[in-house]
Amino acid sequence: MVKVFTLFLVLTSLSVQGSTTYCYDVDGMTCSQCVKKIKETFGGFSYLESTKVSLKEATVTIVAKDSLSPVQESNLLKTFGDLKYKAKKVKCASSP
Amino acid sequence: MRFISLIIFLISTQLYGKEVSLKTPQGGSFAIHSTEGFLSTDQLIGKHVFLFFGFATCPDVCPLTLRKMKQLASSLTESERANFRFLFISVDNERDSIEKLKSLKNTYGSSFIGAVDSDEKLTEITELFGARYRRFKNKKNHLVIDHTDSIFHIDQQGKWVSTIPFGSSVESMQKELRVKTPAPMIIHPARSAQLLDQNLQCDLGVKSCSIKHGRDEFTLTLSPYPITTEKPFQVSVTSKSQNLKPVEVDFQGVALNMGFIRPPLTQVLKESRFETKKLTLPICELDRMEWTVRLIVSEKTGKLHYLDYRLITLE
Repeated sequence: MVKVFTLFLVLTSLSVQGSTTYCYDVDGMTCSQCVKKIKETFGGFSYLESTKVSLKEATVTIVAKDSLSPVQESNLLKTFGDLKYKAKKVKCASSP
Repeated sequence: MRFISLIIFLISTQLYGKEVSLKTPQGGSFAIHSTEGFLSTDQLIGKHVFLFFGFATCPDVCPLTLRKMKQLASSLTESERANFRFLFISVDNERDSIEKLKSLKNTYGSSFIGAVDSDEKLTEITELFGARYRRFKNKKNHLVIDHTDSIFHIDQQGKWVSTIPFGSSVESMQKELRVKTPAPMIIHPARSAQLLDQNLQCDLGVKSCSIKHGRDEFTLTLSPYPITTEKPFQVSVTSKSQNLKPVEVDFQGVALNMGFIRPPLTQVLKESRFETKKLTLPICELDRMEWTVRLIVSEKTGKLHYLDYRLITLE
């Protein structure tokens, strides 16, 4: 029983460690429909956990299930471009 | 102790029984500066009008809607087209001029009428239809505009007969125009309701919330969790009351006007459960949005009361 619990704890901590947050300054989000469009598009990426869009701050915060590879990161930037937004990766305000 | 009891009594007597007016948007005639000169909707009697609130530089909703309107107009017969107008009211009076809207008319054809006016006028017109618009600047000082994306169908008698959701097909809109007598919308006149009770501690976004008032109890549940903007959900009410029947549930943004959102409740067979159809709350610029969810209940005599609940949606 103890072993199962320990294994559970280890697995949980691994998955928490795995998720990584990426922050972007995004130009061109001029209406509330942009929020929907960005969320729906990035929602289709299997390696992403969540997408948060702030119209007021002009930012998009993406939580990935794991650290992204350079190819995946450039794919995110390309997707912003395909949606006609200009995105720049920035340091997340809450990151250590 | 007596003093505290007196204060509690005074506060409660001020709060409970508080009467509110439940206004329902009715549509109605209005006049506005347009690409056709100063235009009154009375001049459009005899024509079907599809009314839309947007702005010329809107990147998504407006061009899509405008394109659909152009497709719709060209799919109509000549006589149908002569009796159809698409009234595009710009809520961006800082950047959209009549001249700018005239250039849209060149692109979208003779059925298109562009209009823009002062904020007072725009507010007056949007309120007629329970629509909303808001302009604000983001931290980069760029203008962001939030607006209702539905189309309001005003019939040949000048009556608002339906609201067409964003994304509806050209075929369904064509069908709507060809219905000889559209089913009239159920529009209640302004009614008043009295506050029965409230529970503002419980957040409907994460769990069911109940209000007990005397022998009556009403439990509201929104599902599925988590409740966020732009994600469809359903409201269900479980009632333990012999005298009061849940009839509608009204969503009001606390800090921002989010337009008219008041779906009716339908009884599930003969159970004590009532449900709305699926609904979606609009996105706003706040990361955390607080809503008052007002359950409207009716006595057998038709007298209305309400109970206030709270919902928090997180972006």
